Amino acid sequence: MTMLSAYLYVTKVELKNQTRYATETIIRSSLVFMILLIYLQLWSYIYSLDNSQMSHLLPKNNMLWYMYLVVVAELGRFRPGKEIETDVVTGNIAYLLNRPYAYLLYQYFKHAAGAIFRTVMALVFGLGLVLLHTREFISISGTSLLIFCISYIFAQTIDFLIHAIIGIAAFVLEETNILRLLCQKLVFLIGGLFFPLDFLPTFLQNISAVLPFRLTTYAPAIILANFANVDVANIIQSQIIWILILMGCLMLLYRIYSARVTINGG
Amino acid sequence: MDLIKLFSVLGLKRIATFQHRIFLTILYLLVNNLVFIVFWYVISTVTPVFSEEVAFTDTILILAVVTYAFGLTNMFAPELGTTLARLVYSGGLDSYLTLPQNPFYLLLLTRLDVVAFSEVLLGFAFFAFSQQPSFSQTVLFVIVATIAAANILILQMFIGSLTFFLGNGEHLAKLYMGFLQTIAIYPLNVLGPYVVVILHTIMPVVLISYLPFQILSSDPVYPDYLFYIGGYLLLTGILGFMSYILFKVGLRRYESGNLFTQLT
Repeated sequence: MTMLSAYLYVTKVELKNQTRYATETIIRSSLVFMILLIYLQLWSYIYSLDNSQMSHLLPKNNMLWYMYLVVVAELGRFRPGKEIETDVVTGNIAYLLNRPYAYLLYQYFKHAAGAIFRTVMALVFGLGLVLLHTREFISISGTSLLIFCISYIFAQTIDFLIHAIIGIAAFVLEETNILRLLCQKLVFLIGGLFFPLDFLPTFLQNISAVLPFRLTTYAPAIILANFANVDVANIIQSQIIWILILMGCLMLLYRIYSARVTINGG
Repeated sequence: MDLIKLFSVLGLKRIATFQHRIFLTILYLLVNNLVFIVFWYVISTVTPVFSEEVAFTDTILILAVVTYAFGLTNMFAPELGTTLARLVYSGGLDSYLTLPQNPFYLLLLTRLDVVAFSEVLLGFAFFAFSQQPSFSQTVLFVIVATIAAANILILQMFIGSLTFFLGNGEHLAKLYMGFLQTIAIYPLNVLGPYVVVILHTIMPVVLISYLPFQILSSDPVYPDYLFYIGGYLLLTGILGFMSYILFKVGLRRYESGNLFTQLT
């Protein structure tokens, strides 16, 4: 319990740190606001061309709310890859391994603070915009909201684990920036950031089904945007399984490579 | 010329040190561009009416210009905006100011990344795929896409120079350029009037993708070539002048950090 409160304290401190740089976060949020605006306009345009065909896949307003939710999810990421890479390359990891906390848990709680702050900013900034385009709230029940929140936390955790594994790869590759960008692009397409996965050709849907990226973006957004027509239990179950798999991989890689760290001097 | 030669050799040596990076970079470029091709393909497939309004080949032509232009800038000055912002707020610009060459010129040359040439080639491949290009069209493509690359560099200098006035603008520069690259691939006619105004002013994406696309797709005859390219160059010159003035004015506000490092 003491350990957990220590990690939560890390989150609290980092959250205060985020509010100190509120201007920067607001600028970042406003740029994402622009991206959301473009997505909303693009999809409004497409639906205006062929509403009947598109509504068959997902009604217009649900689609616009889906785009809002995926953009919020993308902004609310907490990706430690760059920081882990820097720690590995600069040798700072040798110092951090001696600290009285688990390095990866520290990263999780530290980056979670930024994610909370950015998620709130994105929700606030984007809400007016999506309402301007849809002119109505999406129908939400208490159950769908609760399941969405759970799925959202799981989604961000899966994304964190993927990026932590990439960060650990710095022990071998030194520079992992390209892997991070690759991963980001895969989320765009087969993760559901561009459009719901039902829009993809069958072979891409099959590829997406065996990878964890859809669970980081598509899964939470579609739960809220189209609750009545999704297999919620299957999504949550898949998320839990992938969290366990990725956590296992991360722990294994971390143990192997952190054991190789040599500390010289004091 | 000696400087270009020297930094090209240094760039090649840096690549030789991290050989796996070549493979990863090329893989990333392929995936990155494939993602956008599939994106437009899927939209054209799910809404056949869309392809009547915006031809699939048009979206590929825009992608060709953007890929070529960003490839060229990544080759000569990768992440120039963020680098300049970091140098300004950390005081690292000292290393450039103490040298006899123009710091503006040095900033463009010292970070040559030859691997990014593969992105330029990919841009060519998209151009060849988007239409059956004649020799004159290919020349026109090279000219307008190179001017587009110059506009990207100018915008990078502009956004990086804002750090002289705003403080740490590294994140801003990174996001701004990321946003430009993302938005540049969308045809202008699918976006609403408010966005179009923004893309003509504070985020002049029109200079990077839409204007070159218009010149290439309108298939102008000989005298019109000069008119279009001249107009495009004039706009680039105005933006370049504004960027240079901002850099020079900002340089007067710069305070030395007494930080002398190698040029990176």
